[in-house]
Amino acid sequence: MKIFIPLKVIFFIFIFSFQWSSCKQTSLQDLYDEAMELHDEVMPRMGEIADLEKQALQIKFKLEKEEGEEAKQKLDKVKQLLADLDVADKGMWDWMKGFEDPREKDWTPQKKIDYFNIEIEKIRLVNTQIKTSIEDGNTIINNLK
Amino acid sequence: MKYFPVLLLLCIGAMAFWTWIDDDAKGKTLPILGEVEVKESAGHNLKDTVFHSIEDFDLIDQDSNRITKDLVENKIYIADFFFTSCPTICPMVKAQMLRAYEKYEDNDDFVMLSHSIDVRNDSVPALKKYAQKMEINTDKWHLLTGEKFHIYDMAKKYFIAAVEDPSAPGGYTHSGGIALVDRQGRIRGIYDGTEVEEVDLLLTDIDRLLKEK
Repeated sequence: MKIFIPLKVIFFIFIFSFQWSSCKQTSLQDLYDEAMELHDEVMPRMGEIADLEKQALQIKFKLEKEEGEEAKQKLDKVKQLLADLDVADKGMWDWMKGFEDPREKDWTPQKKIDYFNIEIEKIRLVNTQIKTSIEDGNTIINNLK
Repeated sequence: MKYFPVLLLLCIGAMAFWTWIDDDAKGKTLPILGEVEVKESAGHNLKDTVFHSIEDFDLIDQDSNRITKDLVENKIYIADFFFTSCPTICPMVKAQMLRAYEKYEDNDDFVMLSHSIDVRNDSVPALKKYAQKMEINTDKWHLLTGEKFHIYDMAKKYFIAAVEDPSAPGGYTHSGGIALVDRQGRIRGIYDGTEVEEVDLLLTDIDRLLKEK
């Protein structure tokens, strides 16, 4: 028995599958853009982290020579700040080193989406850590100067 | 009055010629960027103008060579800041830097310095691998690493000339900027390395600086 498929149906199937594949592509592009936006927002601030680290180290060396409870408390604050700045700084470099564009990989579409979702959460955390450590750093250093 | 059309044509011709000839022929030179200090010589009534210039530096390149200001002594060079894992700006800038590399590869008066701001990951072997990937001659184009604060300070010194408010926080290390430095270590131009037209201008300005003695 011959099955006859009208030309119109074939045309619609073709259009639908084309639209579907474009939709998938756009979705991956959107995920890539979301990750890069989070990265680009804070990457230019890495210089600020370095500046704060430098200032914090100078204050730390000065406080290490001082005695008394007040100096000790200040020293603890500076050490915590240096640790927070280091976490934020390392977080960004590690994320960039580890990030691979899944669009260039021979992975299933779902695996690509899953990978992007994980990486977006990672860079979102780094983004927050960078902004928070800079904000805290400025406050702490201004108070200790 | 009958000579008016002739005079008009001559004027238009002269203006067109002036526009057509390049800036070198007009005697124009590139500006010197950065702060200018006027120093008075002791005991004399003479004043000396001191321009912002790049101080000495101490870094390591992809071949483990120690690179100091001696390398660029009496040479024209371009400097930028990058890192090998950069997903966005750096590949665009590197593609444009390659244009300068290809144009001046055989010119002994010209050098290129690319400073990595990722001191955690861009070790000497990592920089070597990157240089091999780009197929560059390492005597011409030095990929540099060193002490973190030293590199960030260097970035400020190169790009402070382009920042209107030096105290403002900015992405001077990750701006895609390329600095053009003359034989005396003075900054003569800052270009956006992500823009083809800006790098076209950079190449023209390098030619102009190479003619300056």
